[in-house]
Amino acid sequence: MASRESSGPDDLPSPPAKAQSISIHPTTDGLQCVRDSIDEALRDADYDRTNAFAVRVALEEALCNAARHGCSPEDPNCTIEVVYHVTPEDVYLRITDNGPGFDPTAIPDPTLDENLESATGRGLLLMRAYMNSVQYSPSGNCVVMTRKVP
Amino acid sequence: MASPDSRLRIQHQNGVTMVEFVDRNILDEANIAQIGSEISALIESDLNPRLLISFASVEHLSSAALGALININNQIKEKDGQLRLSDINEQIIEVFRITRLDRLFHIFPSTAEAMESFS
Repeated sequence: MASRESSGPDDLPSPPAKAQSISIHPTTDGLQCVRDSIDEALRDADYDRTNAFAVRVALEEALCNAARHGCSPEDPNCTIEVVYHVTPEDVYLRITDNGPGFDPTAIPDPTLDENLESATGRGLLLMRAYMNSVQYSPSGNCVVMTRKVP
Repeated sequence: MASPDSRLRIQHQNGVTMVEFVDRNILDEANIAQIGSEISALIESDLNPRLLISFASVEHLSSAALGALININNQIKEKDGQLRLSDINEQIIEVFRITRLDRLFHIFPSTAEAMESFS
């Protein structure tokens, strides 16, 4: 794990100047390390339960997508990078994996009656429901999400 | 009887299998797979499964956990069984509403109300 100041790719919203970054191998421990870091940032910014829950949901789904559609955990070079910035007013999250990426437009609407009994395909819906903006890079392996605290 | 490393607390009452989760957060994919396998085994062992899953201890779950619940629901339907969910906190209920899964599952405020609903 490493923390540093970061800048974003040109095609997605750049992170704020004081954003922090964590790079992990997509293991149970690695993913928990990201959750713990974001939880700490949410506590430091005095997020209430509702707002903290919203950020955690979006983070979890983005991490899950990165771990599922990214590179194989057996690959020693496989990493997920999470850039984050949490203030009392807003949240910026950027999750990048070094896998082949996925096409978010190919996910069928999971709320349609014919898809309700499908076991997958709800992550993006939840990310969009709980964040103000969700943008994927054209390559599909980087997502930037922002939320303003209401 | 659940094994010592089970992710579930299991009770049997009036022909209903009542399941509670050990974990507050149902996020880890390996844990979700284990939960799915344990509940699947409970369903398989019952000719007419009547299953109540309580979320009383759960603070957070992911869409992967919702997927496991859908698989459980499908398995129970195949056996003409009944599934009820109860004690879901306000924030997680909102996740069910957003995904419209509140239309798929029979959800009750309490285990007592869920127990009464079994036919």
